[in-house]
Amino acid sequence: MKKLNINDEIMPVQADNGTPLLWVLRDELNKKGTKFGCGKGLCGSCTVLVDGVATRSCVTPIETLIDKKITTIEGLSVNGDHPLQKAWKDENVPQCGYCQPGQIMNALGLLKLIPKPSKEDIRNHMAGNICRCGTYQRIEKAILIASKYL
Amino acid sequence: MKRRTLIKLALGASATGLLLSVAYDKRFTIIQKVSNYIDNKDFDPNAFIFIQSDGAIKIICHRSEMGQGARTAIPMLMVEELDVTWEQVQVVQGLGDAKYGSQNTDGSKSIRDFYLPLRKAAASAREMLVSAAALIWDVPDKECDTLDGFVLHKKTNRQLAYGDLVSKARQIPVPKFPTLKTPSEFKVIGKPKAGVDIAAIVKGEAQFGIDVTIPQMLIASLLRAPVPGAKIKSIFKEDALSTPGVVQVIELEEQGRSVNASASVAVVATNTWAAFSGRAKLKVEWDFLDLKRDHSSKYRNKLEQELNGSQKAHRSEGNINRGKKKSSKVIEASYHTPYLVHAPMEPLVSTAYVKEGSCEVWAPCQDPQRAMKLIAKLLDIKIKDIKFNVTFLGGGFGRKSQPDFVLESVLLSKKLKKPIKIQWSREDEIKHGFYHSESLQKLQAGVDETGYPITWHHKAVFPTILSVFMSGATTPADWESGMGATNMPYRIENILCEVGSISSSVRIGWMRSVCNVWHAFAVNSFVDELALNATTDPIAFRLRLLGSAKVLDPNDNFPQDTGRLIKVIERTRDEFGWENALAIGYGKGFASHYSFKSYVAIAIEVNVAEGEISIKKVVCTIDCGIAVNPDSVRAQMEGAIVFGLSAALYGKITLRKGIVKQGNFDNYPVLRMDEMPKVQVHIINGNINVPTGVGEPGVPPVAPALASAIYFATGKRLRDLPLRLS
Repeated sequence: MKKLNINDEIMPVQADNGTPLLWVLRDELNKKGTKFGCGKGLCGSCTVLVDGVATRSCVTPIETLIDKKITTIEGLSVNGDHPLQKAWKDENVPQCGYCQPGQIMNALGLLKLIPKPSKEDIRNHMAGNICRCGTYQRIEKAILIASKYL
Repeated sequence: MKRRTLIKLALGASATGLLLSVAYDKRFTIIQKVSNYIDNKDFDPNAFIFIQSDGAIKIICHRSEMGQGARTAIPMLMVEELDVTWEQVQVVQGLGDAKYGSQNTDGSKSIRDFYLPLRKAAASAREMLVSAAALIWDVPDKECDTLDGFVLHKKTNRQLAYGDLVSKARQIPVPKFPTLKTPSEFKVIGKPKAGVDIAAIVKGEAQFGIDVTIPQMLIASLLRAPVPGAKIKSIFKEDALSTPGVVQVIELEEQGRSVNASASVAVVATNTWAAFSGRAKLKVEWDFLDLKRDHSSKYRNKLEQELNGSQKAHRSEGNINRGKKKSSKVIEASYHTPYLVHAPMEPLVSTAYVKEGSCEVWAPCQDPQRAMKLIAKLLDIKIKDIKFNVTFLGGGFGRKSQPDFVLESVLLSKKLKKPIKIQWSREDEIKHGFYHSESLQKLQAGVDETGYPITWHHKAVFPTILSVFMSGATTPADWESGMGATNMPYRIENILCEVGSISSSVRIGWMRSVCNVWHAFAVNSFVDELALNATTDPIAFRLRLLGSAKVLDPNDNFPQDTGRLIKVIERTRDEFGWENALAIGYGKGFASHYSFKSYVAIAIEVNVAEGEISIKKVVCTIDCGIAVNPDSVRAQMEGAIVFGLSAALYGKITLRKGIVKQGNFDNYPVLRMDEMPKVQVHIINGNINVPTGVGEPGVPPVAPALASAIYFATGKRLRDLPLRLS
């Protein structure tokens, strides 16, 4: 049986090799923080980290993930106190909240690449994630704040 | 009694008890309905408030949360008047139930319609708790006070917690005319409050419609008729059926008017990916009968023909023909806007479990009561035998007020006798929408030698939203014109606003701000053109057209007051720095609009370089009466600006033989973060007693302000949305 390393836990998985990680997380492993938005890697709602790199789980078959380290929103912190989550709360970022786990995970990917990003870095990196409620200005600010604490 | 029990179970408590429902006797009156006590443990003085003897307080939010902040602002009203702290309060989402009054979460009405009723509900509960304490202490009510969940008797330095008063409070009659706090006494209303669900959201724990899981649940993906009304001719289902995880392929009949769900074939599976994979292999041949199937390139000509055809007047003052004769010049311009789709980040999804004689639904739904009526009809059961759980909505924007996606899941569960979740893909959502109407408008003004209009003639043609309720409806209702056309605020002697008639082969729906979007685009753009003709600054010109402050429709519950419009215009002008000179290639544009009883003005600065439009700055002022949660009002304006810019720059749904060509964010783009301008929001509390709409009114002025800024920067007047320079 296949095994995936998710949030430092080794989890057996039954789904076929070609199944996108998103649906394995949601339907098989009951990790529903990662969201479905477009199914084509266009909107970023499904973003997780794979070996520290922000990755669109809706277009990533699990066969490519064996022996890799996957981090989902559930693995970010136990109490919701990761600097990104704290900054998100301080800036009151979410509106509907649906895209926000993906936004936070993409932001985490950015901070792993560039620990002290400029506004331009943030805008370019985060352009992959759509927020239809339009929380972009607050996301930008929250990432700047979080980067000071990481 | 059974319903009541269900609700209590949902609240995690066992009692049934005193029930007082808020409803409307005229407006803003509490109607009290008292039932028998079942136990003596808890205090639930009305349908919205539930106080346990251990001091825990549950407050019901009966309106759907789709990001507009209802689950924070609605409880704020009650926390204020109940005089409790947020630490004591848990917000519970109300089930679909008529006892709450309207739950139809649209029209920017949650606060506007419930501001007084919910404060009264909480204030009456507080007064009952005060009376209970006063009885225990044997002192007059008026010597008692409340603070943070306690009743206080300061004279004797005594206090009792609300939780300790519940059994006594239940015996106090519900006061008919509770005393409300005055605005100067507010501790909660008017103060910024972070969203009550934010901790769950940032941990990925908030339960949206897509997150619902029921034991034994199967998941279905539907292949729907590509054009509403098309019938299934033949199904080739073998490949779909042989997909691992797929358990069944089954036909779903069309559900007609009111529901408006197309005929479809459901691929039912044990998991979502199997359902999607099976569906990809399903082949269905459709019979298009003699359906009318619009083609976008031809539809524009049709709009043009209808615009020149017979019209129905929705506002007529003076005589435009006579006025035109007095004019020194006649100015005319036409504006076109395309179909738009909602594209909330959470694609549609609904879970239903139909059993013998009952049904339970879990859905991200804006209007649960309407869906329940239709479910009752479909299943031939009573509304009280339907339990409707409203989940978080991952965006709504009007799409999730349509019941089609809920009714599909109910029909499929009925057929399979199993809990069923129907999961829409993004393509499903974009191709099977209820679209924001395409429109064509012609404005014509006869102006005097100073450029001041003597006549104003506004003609509009767009498919009416009535068409989804009434077969064959082709002429917009007067309230559709009332969203931005007939209620335009300028002082002009001769006015004629007319609509033409046109049908559409797609379903028309509500989308954030509805008709205001295209009306505000045409009216503001045209005023800009008139200002140019008069060689007057566009803001100064608007102020000239408004003249001195005036209440336009004094008989309305929320009359339009041009004095308040003038204030948001002036504030935006000043905060933006309208007088400042701009560098070459830069432009500034302005628009103002009254909608959902609120006043909004927006100024935009753009840079246009080598044909690329880059939006630098947006300054917005809203007067929504009183901002109950100012941070949420700010957020709604920020979001409305992004929503408006997406429509202004990109939004366009086109049809080929009636079939929507777009399908995902690659060909239906929306604004992304790298294009986000600096947004500044200012709030004016123009009437501290009457809150008005917030979710929608920020959208309409965005596109015309941007078009105006582009004109300033380039000299090109763009009269079609989306705004394209080449």
